[in-house]
Amino acid sequence: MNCQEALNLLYDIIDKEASEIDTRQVREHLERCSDCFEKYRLQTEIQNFLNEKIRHGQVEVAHERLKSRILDRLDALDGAGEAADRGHTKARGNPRPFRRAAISLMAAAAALILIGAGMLGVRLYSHQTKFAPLQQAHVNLAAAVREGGSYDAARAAAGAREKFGYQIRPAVGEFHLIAGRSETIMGEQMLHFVYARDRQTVSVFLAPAAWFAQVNDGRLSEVVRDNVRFFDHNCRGCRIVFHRAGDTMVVAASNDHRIDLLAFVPGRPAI
Amino acid sequence: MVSMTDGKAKTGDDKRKELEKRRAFEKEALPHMDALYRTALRMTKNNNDAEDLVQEAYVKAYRFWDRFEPGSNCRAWLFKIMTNIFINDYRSKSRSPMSVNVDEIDDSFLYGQLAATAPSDNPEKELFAKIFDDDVKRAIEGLPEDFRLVVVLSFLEGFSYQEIADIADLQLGTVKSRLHRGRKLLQKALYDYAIKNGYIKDTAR
Repeated sequence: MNCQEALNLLYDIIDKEASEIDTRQVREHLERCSDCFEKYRLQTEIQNFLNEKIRHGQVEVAHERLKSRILDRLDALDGAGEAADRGHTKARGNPRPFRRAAISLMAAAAALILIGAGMLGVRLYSHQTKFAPLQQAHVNLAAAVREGGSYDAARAAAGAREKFGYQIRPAVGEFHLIAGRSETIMGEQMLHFVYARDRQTVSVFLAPAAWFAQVNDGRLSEVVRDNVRFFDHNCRGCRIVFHRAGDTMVVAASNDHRIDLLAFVPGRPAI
Repeated sequence: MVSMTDGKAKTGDDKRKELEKRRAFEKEALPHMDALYRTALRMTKNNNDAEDLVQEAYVKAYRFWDRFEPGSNCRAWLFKIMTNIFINDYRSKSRSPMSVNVDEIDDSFLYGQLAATAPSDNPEKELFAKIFDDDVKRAIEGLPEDFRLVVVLSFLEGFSYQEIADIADLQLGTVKSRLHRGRKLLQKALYDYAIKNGYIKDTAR
């Protein structure tokens, strides 16, 4: 084997892709040729360095949030029977092996709350029962739109005017209205809109103002901005902001924490 | 509740099968999430797109789970699905033409430069000590997508040439040449960073 032949096999050897025969011949060549030996040595060093930096230096791991999102999408794919059994109380963020057990526990806990276990229980479970369904609806519709589903936003916006006396804007900042439909969430008939900017999405829900009493667990942060009073639910992987416009409760939800939902006012009471 | 899937009732048998499928999927496929996410990050260069990409890959994998052969390489299968989605939906719309003619970079580019810069027994040691994880990350993210894909699959994920060929739907020879060119570009980028940041002196120009 001459130098050129040996160097042609350089990366195959480094990547451990060379055949046994080639590897042996290269080794024999390197024992005789210090020039090639030095080139092999340096490239091996460089590759080890890069592997070290790339594999061990970059330790980003997927967030729990991503796992929840994926499992929720799998739930949506798993069919109707189970979804109906489970109702809308999704155990977002629970460790999965215990998921179904957790749902039974939650059902039991919910029963206790009904009997009157008091505020503590209500607080513990308010995320699952009050906010997760909204977040879930957001994830579902955004994914359905992304996968090519078409939901007539203009028709839903007309519904918003008629039913809620609320004028929906076609765009909020750089976010554009891309979908809208009527949905029943937590037993309440709502209008659900999706705004998008590139791959970021925000859901807007319109519900009767009186409905808010059902979700206000007393722990929402109150923030006033531009004379609007917002109620802010902000937990890991789930941001939902409420504000009132006349007799309508306007809800903005997104699982993208970078979006400033306090600046997300998607319309105004229609005149 | 969102009534997207309401309608037909399922028999107990269907339900049992569905549960088995779900269990198998969670056991076989979900453990690869971190690896998929890592590669998705290098390819999309941002968290949100990376998460979306991984999610779409899993949704698709779940839909086509019956096509996965039990016992075969689930990790490679998932990467193939994700790579496919990336190539079709995510790769940047305006793919800039190569600004560097890779073939002009000598095979032992870094070696030549280092030897000229710091004549010593181990010219690379001094440089390596000064290059940060972030420099390497940026150098990889600066590679053109076609090269970046094979570099990431090889260096970061440790897939073999043949596995990369299967994942990215390329000829074996194409994988090798892209990897080779990707390597050269990476070395050049790291050298340029080193010069720019004053880690080494630019004596070779």
